[in-house]
Amino acid sequence: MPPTIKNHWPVIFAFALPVLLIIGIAVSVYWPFQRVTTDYDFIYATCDRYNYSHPTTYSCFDFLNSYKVENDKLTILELPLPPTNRPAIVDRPYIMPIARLFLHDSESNEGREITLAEVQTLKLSGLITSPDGVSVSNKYDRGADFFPFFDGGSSYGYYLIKGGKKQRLNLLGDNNNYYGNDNFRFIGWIIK
Amino acid sequence: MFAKIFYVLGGIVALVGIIFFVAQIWDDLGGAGHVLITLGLGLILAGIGSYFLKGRPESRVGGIYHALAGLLIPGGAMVTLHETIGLDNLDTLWPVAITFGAIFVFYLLLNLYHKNEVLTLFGIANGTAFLYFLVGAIINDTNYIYIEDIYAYLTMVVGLSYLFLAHSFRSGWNKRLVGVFNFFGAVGFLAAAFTRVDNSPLWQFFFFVLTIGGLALAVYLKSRVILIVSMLFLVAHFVYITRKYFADSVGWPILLVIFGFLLIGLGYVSISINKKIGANPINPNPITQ
Repeated sequence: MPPTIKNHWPVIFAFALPVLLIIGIAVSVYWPFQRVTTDYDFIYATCDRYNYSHPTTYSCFDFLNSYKVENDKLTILELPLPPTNRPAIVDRPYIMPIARLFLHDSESNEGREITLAEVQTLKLSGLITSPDGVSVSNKYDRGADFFPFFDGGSSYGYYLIKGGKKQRLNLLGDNNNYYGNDNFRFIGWIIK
Repeated sequence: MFAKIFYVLGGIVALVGIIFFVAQIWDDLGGAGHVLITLGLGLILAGIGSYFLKGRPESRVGGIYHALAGLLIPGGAMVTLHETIGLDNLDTLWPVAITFGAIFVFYLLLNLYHKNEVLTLFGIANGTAFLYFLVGAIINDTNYIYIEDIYAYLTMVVGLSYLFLAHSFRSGWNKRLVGVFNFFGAVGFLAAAFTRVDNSPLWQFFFFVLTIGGLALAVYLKSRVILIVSMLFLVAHFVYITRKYFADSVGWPILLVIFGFLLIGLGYVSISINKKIGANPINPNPITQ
């Protein structure tokens, strides 16, 4: 062993250990095979709710719950107009929230809006997990945040998740913020 | 000795004065003023410190100036980042990581020239901050979910690095930092390892190995600091294990009796080890930091 290394091995170890850990983390994070991918595309719905002030309006969450996959097809349950408990206050007609449907291409991580008729021609699986084991899930995203120095804001994001890895989804039309995370609904994976 | 006390007191009084003064005029200063009064002042103080370290290496006044500068420079660098690119809306940690990396290199180069323990301390502190921000920058918004785990393993590695650094400091100009780094190294390593213990039987067993390893290391390095820290974590782990697995079966009073005898036993072991550290025939002048 060269005398320089023999004399300074504790310092060399002290610097080498964190460097090796950082290299390990960087490789595992940036390694392309670590990306979460799936062969299956999926359908999701978002909702706009215009009449917030209506006292008995459906929330987007409740409204989108009427979109379900039954017998491999999208079915929309008929929702009654919400009961009006305080009719005297309601001075404008009730309008149902508006749902939009999107097809998300998993390979390119892009979505496009499609019609209800088009969705109803597709064979769907209503399970949250795809046949190849990838799930769609939302997660509270803290952003660039390093307590106590600064808080980079926070938002809800939707991810493809498999095991300990996640891949952020680029979704269209969801209110990607803390208060409005109720306007996204995963409908189902498209079975080829 | 008196001169040293006056230096330290003077340094503290000056620092408090600077903080109050800056707080008073902060809102009236513009962006450039904020940078000048933090980073600018820090660099000026570092310059004065280096002048004294070079001109009067025997006096401690250079170290005092560098200590004041070391407190101002990282904060000043953050103020500079805030005034230029804005920290509030930052969606990546890379600028912060690179800044701390630059401060680390600055202290490393300064220390190569001066060989002063104050500079070593600030160099390692900024290097540690650099590591955490670097890992934060790498894993921010990437594929990882188990971010807390990575920080725990990083803290364990940092703790080990501190112990290695403390070992390398034993016979050089950083001798007085041995105790500090042994303490933070042992606490960092064992505390981070202790966060892994919950609901993991493998870690529950492995943590006993680590704490007993800490006791053995304390004997090998003749370090009372590592002995105390390892013993405290061993007691904490005994308490955790007993509460987790035996609280329901033996009842609270019996548990207290077990804890009591456990503490007596561990106290006896630590006193024996402590004596071994103090009276080591191989090394008549043991370093007991």
